[in-house]
Amino acid sequence: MIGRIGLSRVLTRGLSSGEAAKLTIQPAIERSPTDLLNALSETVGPDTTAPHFAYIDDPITIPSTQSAKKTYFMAKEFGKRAARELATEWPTLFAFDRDQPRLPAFRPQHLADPFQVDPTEKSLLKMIKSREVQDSCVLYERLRSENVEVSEKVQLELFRLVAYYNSSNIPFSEWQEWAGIRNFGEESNGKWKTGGVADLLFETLQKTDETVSIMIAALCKFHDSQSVERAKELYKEHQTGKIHLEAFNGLIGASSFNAAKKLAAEMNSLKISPNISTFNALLFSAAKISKYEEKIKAFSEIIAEIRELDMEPALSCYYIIVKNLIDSKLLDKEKRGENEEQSYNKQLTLAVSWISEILNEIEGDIVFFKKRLKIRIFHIKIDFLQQNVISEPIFRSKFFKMYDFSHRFCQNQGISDENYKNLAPVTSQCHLFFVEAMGVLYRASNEKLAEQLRNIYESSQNSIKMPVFTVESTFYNRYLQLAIEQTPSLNRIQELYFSMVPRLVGVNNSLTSLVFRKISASSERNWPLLRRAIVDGITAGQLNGVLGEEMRKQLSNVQLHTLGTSEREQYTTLVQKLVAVWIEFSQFTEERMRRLQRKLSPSQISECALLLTRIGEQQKAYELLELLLDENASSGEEATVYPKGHARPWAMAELFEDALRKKDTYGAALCLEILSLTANRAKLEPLVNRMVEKCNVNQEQARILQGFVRLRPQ
Amino acid sequence: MLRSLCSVAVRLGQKRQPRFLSSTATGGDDDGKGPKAKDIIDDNLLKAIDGVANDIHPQSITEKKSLKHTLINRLVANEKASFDAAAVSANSEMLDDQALIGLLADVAGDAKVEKKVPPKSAQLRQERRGLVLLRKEIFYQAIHSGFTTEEARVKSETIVNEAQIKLAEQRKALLSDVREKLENDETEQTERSEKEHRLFTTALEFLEKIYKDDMINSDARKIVNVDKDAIKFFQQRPLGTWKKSEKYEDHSLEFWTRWDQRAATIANGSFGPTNSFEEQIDWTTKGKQWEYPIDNEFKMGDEAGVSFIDHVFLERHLPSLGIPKTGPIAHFMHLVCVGLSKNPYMTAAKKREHLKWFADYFNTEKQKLVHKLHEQEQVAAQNAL
Repeated sequence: MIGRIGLSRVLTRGLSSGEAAKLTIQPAIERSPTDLLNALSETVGPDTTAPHFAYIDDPITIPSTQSAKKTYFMAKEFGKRAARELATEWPTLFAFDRDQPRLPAFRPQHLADPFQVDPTEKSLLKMIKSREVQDSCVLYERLRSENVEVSEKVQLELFRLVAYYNSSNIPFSEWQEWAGIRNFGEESNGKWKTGGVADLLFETLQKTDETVSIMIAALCKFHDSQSVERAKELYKEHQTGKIHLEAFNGLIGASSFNAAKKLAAEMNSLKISPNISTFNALLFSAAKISKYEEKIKAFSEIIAEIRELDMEPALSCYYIIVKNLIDSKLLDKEKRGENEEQSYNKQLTLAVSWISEILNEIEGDIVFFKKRLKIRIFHIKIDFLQQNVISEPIFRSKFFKMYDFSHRFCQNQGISDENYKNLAPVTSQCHLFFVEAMGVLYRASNEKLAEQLRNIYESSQNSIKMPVFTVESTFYNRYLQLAIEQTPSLNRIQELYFSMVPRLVGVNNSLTSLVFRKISASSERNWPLLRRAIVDGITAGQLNGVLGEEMRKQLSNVQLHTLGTSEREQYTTLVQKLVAVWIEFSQFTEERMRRLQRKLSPSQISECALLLTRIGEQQKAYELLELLLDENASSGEEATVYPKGHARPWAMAELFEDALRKKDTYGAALCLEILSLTANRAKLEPLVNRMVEKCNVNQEQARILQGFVRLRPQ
Repeated sequence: MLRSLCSVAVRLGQKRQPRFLSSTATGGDDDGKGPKAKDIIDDNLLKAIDGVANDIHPQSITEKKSLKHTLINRLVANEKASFDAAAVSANSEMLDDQALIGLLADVAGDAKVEKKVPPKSAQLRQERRGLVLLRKEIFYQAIHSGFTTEEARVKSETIVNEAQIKLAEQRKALLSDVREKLENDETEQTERSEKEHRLFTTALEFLEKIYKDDMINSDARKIVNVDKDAIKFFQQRPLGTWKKSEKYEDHSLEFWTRWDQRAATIANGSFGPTNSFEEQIDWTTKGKQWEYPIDNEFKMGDEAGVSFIDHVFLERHLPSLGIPKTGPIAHFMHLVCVGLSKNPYMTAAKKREHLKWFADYFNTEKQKLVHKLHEQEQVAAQNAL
């Protein structure tokens, strides 16, 4: 639309400069208060170089792991909620009470207390409207006990609410205001509350098609075996009436596939048009079929039925199918037998093939949509030109030709303004298709399809979004690990890793170890990637344990001469930082900090000393090495070193060589002493000889050295 | 637990030096004998050697035997040298499981390499190293979990030993499978290539198991591609319940559909705004921010419908209120109107109320009094001159 205005301005100006054409001022276009912001937001989009918008604050607080993201987000949200609670309790402390205009958003109010409000129908309606389910129930009970007449209309409204929500407050998943609770909140799997207000109201209200349908639908929504039985009984009892679609949907979903087909036939005979939820329910019941071949046949038939009725299957339909394409008992690799392995492979292949078909279908829709969008813009332009420039005889014939052509083109392609498609959420499960399909593709190691799936998800035509820090993160984690696994190129890994971690994928152990494995296996060198993986490891607390060891190994494998000047500086800083962190962890000897303590192991000390020597910090390296010979460091309450284990011989050998090169008698002697803890006399003798040869050792010292070696065991 | 320990052991072993592919074929600790000539040299070759020996020494059995022995030894040594050379380069690639797959595929084509036995000492050394590392790891973990050093030491020993036994058992079991297949291969020469292929598939799977990691499976996972012959998803016959030609009515509970849609929209809200414009949209819809386009009369309330004329031109109300047109009161009221017209904080109604109050105050009596006083003042002023 903005383009349209721009075009009009240009054209009007262009024309006015020529002959004195009539200037037409377009009437102002009505815009909502958010139109401008929406246009700006669509143009700018999210910043892919920064963390998620929720975390843009002090850079030091940017979270990098999944759990840190959750903690941060929830802390922020609970802080907000606490502030709101305070503002509700003491409003004058927070709002300048004379401000104009007076904005109610800044004056949060306590919810009406059902025991305090006027016991009137009006109060009850207000509560129903604001979806305060339990409060409405309490107020309703109060009205009854105080003999206040409640009209049938209001009772029906209340019945709708309590049936839909099972007489409980709305679930976390429907909390509009608080995204953290909505996504991280754990729901208890609700079963139908027997004897609740819903049951009471159902008995009170007249048994109409609507009330019975609501009851059946609600019983099936919160189903357990009893409630489903009751729903079926209600359905049988109400055979004379015509129950509504939702009741059928509920019953279909709760039945076996054969029973579901009968119910669908019943719907057909009653001339009730199905919707996507009906087909989802059918798919759900088809998923219960135990025989695999029959199950997949039922799936494809249902999808064909949807298309037969000129409807578009929602992503939730595909989700149910993809989820059930591989038998759940075959998913665990450890538990699969020989025969099961075969059927697993068969099922996986079918799942991949079907996902490929689904993706092509969705992508086709998107291409179709883009084509249609282009033509629509073309139409708008032509409409405008027709209105404004048509008086010019030179243009007239040309525009009519173009107009005709575009209309004819659209007719041939079956394109009209009404039938364009876009991916939009139809049910609350639609987004799960992406993650489920990615899971299957990850199992199948099929990167090509995974890439296609990712492109569809990121396409501008897709408005279905997964919750970023939970489901979407899993989606991208699977994609990233698959892509890294499949590529031999470190540059590609770097590109993927930098673009996704930690913004989309939280740093995690499996990912980091995968990256390290790839770096070790590759003949290429990629310092930025290694550095980033280690830095991320530091922020994600991976320094202790296996990954810390891997980091030391990777760093000692780096060939310093291949690095540039700035890279070498980075290497130095990184090694200093790592060693400082390890030493700090080892020094948590106080009682209250001891649970955090990670003592230095001899192998760790030798590796750290080697890394320090490489960056030219010999002094520090020897200080560390001395810890190995210091008995106080490895015993008692204040111990910072593990008493068991040995220094790495290869690291010690390199340290010894380094000391010899520098003619550092002290360093070489220290290394020799540490080596003597594990090596025997035969191995030590050549070392001593070299030491005597290379370093400035006086006779006395040489004698001591040789005496020392002679005392070692053979 | 034990399984994870085994996988740790394998991983640790793998870290220092990758396991040779054919370690699976030698594996168990009890396998002390060297490789048999039959295992190494092609059967055709063996036959050829027999033929040569027969030709050269048709009579003497002992000479024939010694010649055969020399020839075989020479061939074995030759094969071993070529294998060792190949194993060194393969060794570096082993770490990359991707490369491993490639290697295995190559090997499947050329069975000879697979059939040879790798140097056992290297294998043992590497295993030992892995075990030491494992013991250490277990020890540290035990220390972290709060055991004393002595307990931890004992624990690490016993756990690792158990793990070792378990691993050896697993290997032996798998090894015997592989052996059987090897023997079968030898007997059925005609189906050789096919069988070999199968053997290497088994070996590959076995390797996959060995290289299996904790979280991610090994890099060498098989790629499952689209099967063009698979049942097509979109080209099946419909269920046939509803007919396209028939007309159906929408018989849904309107509120239920609406609420379901509401739930879907809320679920699609992810974690709130993703840029500052979205945040502003959020604020605008919640009524926390002035709406665009900016208007300084935003949410003025009742005054929104009041024209500025009512605020500014107040003197027009005076005649109807009975205020005289001339004289000091008229002058005073003119000043009141000017003052009120400049006050932005008062509503127009309030301003009119003020005027009304003044009009009530200046009733006829007051008017007369003022008039009288005014006249007196004027007289006094004239006299003063």
